[in-house]
Amino acid sequence: MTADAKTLVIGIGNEYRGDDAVGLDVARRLSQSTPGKCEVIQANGAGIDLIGKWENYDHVIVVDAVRSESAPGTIHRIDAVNEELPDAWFHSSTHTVSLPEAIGLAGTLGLMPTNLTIYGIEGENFEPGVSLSPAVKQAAEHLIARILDEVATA
Amino acid sequence: MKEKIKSIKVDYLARVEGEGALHVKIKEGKVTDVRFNIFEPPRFFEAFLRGRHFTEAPDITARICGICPVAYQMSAVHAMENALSVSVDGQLRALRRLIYCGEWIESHALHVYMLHAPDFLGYQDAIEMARDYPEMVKQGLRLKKIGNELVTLIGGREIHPINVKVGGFYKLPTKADLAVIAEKLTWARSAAHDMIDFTARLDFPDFKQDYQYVALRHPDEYPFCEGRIVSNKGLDISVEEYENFFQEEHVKHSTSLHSLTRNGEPYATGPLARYSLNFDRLYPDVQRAATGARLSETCFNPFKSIIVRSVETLQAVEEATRIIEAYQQPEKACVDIEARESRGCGCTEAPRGSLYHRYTLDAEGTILNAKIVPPTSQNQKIIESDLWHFVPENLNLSHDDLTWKCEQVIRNYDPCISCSCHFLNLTVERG
Repeated sequence: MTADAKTLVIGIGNEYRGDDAVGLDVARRLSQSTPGKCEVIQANGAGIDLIGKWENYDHVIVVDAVRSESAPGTIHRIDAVNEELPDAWFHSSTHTVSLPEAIGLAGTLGLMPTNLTIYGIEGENFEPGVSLSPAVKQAAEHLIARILDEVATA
Repeated sequence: MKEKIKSIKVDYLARVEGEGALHVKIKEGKVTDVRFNIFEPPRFFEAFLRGRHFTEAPDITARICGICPVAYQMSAVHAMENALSVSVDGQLRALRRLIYCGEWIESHALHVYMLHAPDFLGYQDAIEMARDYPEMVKQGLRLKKIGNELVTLIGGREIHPINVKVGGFYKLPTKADLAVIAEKLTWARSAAHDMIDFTARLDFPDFKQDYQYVALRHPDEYPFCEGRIVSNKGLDISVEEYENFFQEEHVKHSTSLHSLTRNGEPYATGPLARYSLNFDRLYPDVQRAATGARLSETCFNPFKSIIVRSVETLQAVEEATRIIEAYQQPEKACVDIEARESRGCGCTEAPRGSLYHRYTLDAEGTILNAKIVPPTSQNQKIIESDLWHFVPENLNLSHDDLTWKCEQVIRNYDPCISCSCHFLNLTVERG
């Protein structure tokens, strides 16, 4: 953690499951363009481990792929401190403890950051493979710009 | 009017890795069927490996599981080194044990505090349990984090480590790097003692079976990566002999293969087997902690696996501490290896049990053939067998309670359905 970094961005996903990798893609590209502004890390989606990662930060942004039956590339923004996360959006089968469950646990234990924003990018294809769908790729570009703005004004 | 047939049906089993289903059928007070229905597609990793270079096996197999990637890497590197007649000793060997300690700590902490303890305390999940036991849950989170940090430090990153290679490592940690973790392990030792005390005080069903336990046994150490494969029924073989004594069979209701001995008998692998076959290889203070928790030197009650995992967590913390104290950074990060036509196998102790790999290589080191037998595949028959015995003894329970207990019987084995493919969702049908 850099001395003045108060914001942590966590990109979640599986880089070998198509659009599931979008969170990782956003994190990778953000880490090249935000020197010192914020800390950026990649995670595989094990929700339980996120709690330990955000404990020293006031502002946390999590980026993950979601499935909510919206149009591919739709960017959902959820203020996780004040709003509930729809459990079904975040597939949890191999994640043991899903993102919504981890947030529930952190809330119960008083381990939530002051601000926790979840950006969910609607995925189209979650089959094994290493490329993002065009709409998802475009959404990632928009989201990077948006997060850079948010970090600059934080 | 009394129902003739009842079924316990659990479509999605919570708190196990991956997805799967269980169906139990009870007719006139007797269990007539127990079946795991597996619907996660098989993962074809054995096929992915064919045509890849032997050096790629640790990185590819690490992808099979997000919880125990180190186990896959360790079995892969040992199998390759066995094929290519290379031995990795001294500090490099110690570092391999150290990264494995990290994986045991994080995997056991996750299962004991977050997935298994809520069963015994009557909570649906860790979130509910955290309302009444916040300090215990926080302790579990911190312990898991220390395990993750150990894996990250040696493995280069937390999930799917990238620093492990056939012959050793790409980059070595310095003594100073390890000193940072050593301080945290002092806290972890005390937490692991609390974990043992906490789990020992839980209420356990009076249930046991005459299991055939199978685990590695090493001449001096509690087993991680090396040793002979032994059982409590007289088996004592080298890893090379594994396929002469164990077989895998297809069952209709599962995409996972079920493992049996060549005689067609089920067997159990994992913490209970390891502990019961290697109690004398635990450090003396860990043995005392186990005895203090009223565990005998062998344990045949699968519900008590939660205590045994806690004991193994302490063992891993002690082992990690000793390795770090003795660590001297070696000059070379790995030994030289030349490819040649060969066949080799390796078996290491994943948190959930023995994990066997076998590879055939051509003269250039290309993988011609791969076989991977994960611990959950090996334990499936025993899980079904436990249910065949457990359900008739608990027919007095309400439908909901019996269903829940069946889930617990499965969770006793911490099954990793994703990596056994290869697997788990629950029906109990009764009358």
